[in-house]
Amino acid sequence: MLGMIFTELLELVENKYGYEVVDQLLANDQLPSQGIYTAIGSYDHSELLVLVKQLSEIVDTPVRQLVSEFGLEIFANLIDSHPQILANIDGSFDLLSKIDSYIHLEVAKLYPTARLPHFSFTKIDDNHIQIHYRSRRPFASFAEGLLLGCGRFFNEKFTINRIAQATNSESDVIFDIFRTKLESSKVRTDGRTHG
Amino acid sequence: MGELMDELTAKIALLERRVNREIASRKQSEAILNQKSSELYHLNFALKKSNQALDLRVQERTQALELAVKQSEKQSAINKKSNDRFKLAMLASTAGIWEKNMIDDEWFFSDRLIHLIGFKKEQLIQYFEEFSFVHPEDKRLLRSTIIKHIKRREVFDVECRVLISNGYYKWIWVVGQAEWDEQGKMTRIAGSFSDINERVENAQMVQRMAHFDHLTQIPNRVLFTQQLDQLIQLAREQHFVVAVLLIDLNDFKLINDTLGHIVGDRLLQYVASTLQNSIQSDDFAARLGGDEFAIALTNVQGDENLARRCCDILKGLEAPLKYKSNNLQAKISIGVAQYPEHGANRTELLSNADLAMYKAKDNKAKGSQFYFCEQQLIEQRAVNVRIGQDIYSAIKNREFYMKYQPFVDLTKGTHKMVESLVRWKHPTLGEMSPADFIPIAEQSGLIIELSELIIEMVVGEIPNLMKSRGLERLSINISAGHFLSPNFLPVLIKHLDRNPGAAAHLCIEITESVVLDNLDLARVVVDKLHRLGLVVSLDDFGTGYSSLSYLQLLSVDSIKLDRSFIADLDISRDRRTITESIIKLAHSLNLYVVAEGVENAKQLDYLIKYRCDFIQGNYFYQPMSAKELLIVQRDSQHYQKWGDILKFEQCD
Repeated sequence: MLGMIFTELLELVENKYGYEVVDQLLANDQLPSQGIYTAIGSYDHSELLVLVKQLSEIVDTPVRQLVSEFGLEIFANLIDSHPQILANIDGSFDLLSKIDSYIHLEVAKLYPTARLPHFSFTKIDDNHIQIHYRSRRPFASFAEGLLLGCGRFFNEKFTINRIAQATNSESDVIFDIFRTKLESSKVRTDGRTHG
Repeated sequence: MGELMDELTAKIALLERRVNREIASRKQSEAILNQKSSELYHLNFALKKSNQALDLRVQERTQALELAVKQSEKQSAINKKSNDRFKLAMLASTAGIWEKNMIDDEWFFSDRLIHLIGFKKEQLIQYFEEFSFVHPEDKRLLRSTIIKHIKRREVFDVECRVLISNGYYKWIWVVGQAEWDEQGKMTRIAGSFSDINERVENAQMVQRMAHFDHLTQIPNRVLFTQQLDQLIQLAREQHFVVAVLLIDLNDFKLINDTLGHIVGDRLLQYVASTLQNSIQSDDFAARLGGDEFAIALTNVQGDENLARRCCDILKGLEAPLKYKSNNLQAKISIGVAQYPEHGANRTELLSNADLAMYKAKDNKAKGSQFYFCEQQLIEQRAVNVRIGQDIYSAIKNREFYMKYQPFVDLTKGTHKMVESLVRWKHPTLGEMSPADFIPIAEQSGLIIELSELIIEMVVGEIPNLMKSRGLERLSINISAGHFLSPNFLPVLIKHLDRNPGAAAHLCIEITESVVLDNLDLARVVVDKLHRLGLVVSLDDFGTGYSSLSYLQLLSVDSIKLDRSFIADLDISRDRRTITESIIKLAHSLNLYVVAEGVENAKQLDYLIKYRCDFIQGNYFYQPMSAKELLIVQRDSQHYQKWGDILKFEQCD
């Protein structure tokens, strides 16, 4: 798994709970990397699960919620790191429709060994879409957070209903998404909302 | 304080752990970067190498492309030259060029072709596609030639008639060549049109001249020969009868001589067209030459049917040809031979038809006749051929011998003149009559050799016979053919030279036919004979045309009345009148008259009454040998009843 996900997570944890919590997480002897992460490295995804599970215990918050929040926060950072992605994008749904066909294609060029999830896009109407998430890893909540982050980035409110394709599945989920434009907010050049 | 210290220590430891982690993270980043850098270096190196290889390939490809461009330009120049040359050749050629491109479905016609045929391109396309400008009789040939070329790749080369814009057909030599793709599908076909009208028409004219008679415009001997051969072959395969009619005009020479060649030619044309109109579509007629025609008849349904068809032909010629002031009646003799009965091939059939034709001619006095070939005729000819061969041997072996028959002078009872008569004892058939073997010698072309032998024998006998008292002249019969041949005089002179003085004791007997054959030459020969000291007698007078004008023209010395007159003297008043008149006329021309074939006293009485000069016949003497003649001469001296011997006067 990309090292940037780990470094972003740890940065968020530090910002929200302080480095002490980060220190606790990294001191866990179940981490093969011994808690040493760099954005340009690549690590086993199970380490992330270990970290999130431990964080859940420390801050007494459900793992799904933590992961979703993490996704929500990380989206803008990911876009900041790769601003060229927005070059020919016209809105949130346009971006989401091109995850498999464009974004993941570019990711694969940079990280040929990365094993990327699938996001099948179905447009219901102009403000209603469905995205079918399938992955080898159980990160549906993380994906949900990213989707919400996407809505926020484009100054839209996403209402997402999860339609699990199996009970409590975290690896095969259809996200039914309705969007509402947030008129009062202004869009920052970096996509973050304010005011 | 202690808590603060603990807290501080913990924070320091936390910071230390953080620093350590950051250091470890940094080192890990550096290691990764180093690894990435190394990978990039190798990647860059590989890329450089790849670029170099790529540059090299680009360079090679560029060179190859430059070479290809140069070759293409060169080929283009060659193509242009070739194209220019082709255009020039098209302009210079008398042939018109055509082409059909199957891929583009386009036609091309050169200016020369358009000029040659004379139609516009749109019209030509239609004509070419439908073959509609090709002569109906030639369409099938052209079409099959093209199909054979396209399907079996046989040569596309054909001569046919093509309609041109002036409404006439022209003979065109059409050649072509198709092109096929790898799948064998025709992609293009092109060729030329050459005007061969003049050549074909000339060839047709030559062909016509070679196969048709110029005067009558009916087939000639060459074409008749070819057609008859084909017909006989067909008859052989399909078992039917073919009749060959050989036709000869009676006395055509007389018409030519008396009325001129223009009239003669006109008559030939009339006969030719009448014969053509008398036959059916499957039959054919031809002029074989001179006054000889031939017809081949098919669908022969027995002799009766054939006789009716011959009658139809004769009937067709019954109407006279009116030419200027003349009413010309063509009289013909037809000899008929049938395949397979009278011959298995053309030569046999024509030969046997010829036999029959001569039989028909025997009765020409009765008018036009036809005669069917008979087996007996063929067999007789076979016998004649064998006898002809025997005559040849007999001449070489000198089997012939002479007999002599005296003429009796009716005023004095003497016989100063003797006719020499040839005789032959055939080794198996025994004694043969000259009436039998002379015609065979004439037919087989041996008469001249036989005559020369006779001259030799008679002239050689003259010194012996002239020893006999009272004998003054021997006569010898010479055929017309021999008399007019270039060998006659030299051979005669040769033998006279061997026997000096013999010329004054020789008389040449000729017939009227020498006059008919060649009057001018006959006169020359008679004159020469007279100068040599010989006398000339006209034999068989009264049987032919018996024109007294011939007697003067030829300057003969005597005439011999034909035996047919003498035979009828005692039974026919008319004959007696004619005989008396001839003798009187001859005497008025200072000619002596000899009567042949006197058999009885009655005939003799009439001849004495009519003051005939000499008689010859069995009533007095049969032909005898030289030895017997000498005895007769000697005895006649003793039994002379007619007074003193008067000197026989020479007639020159």
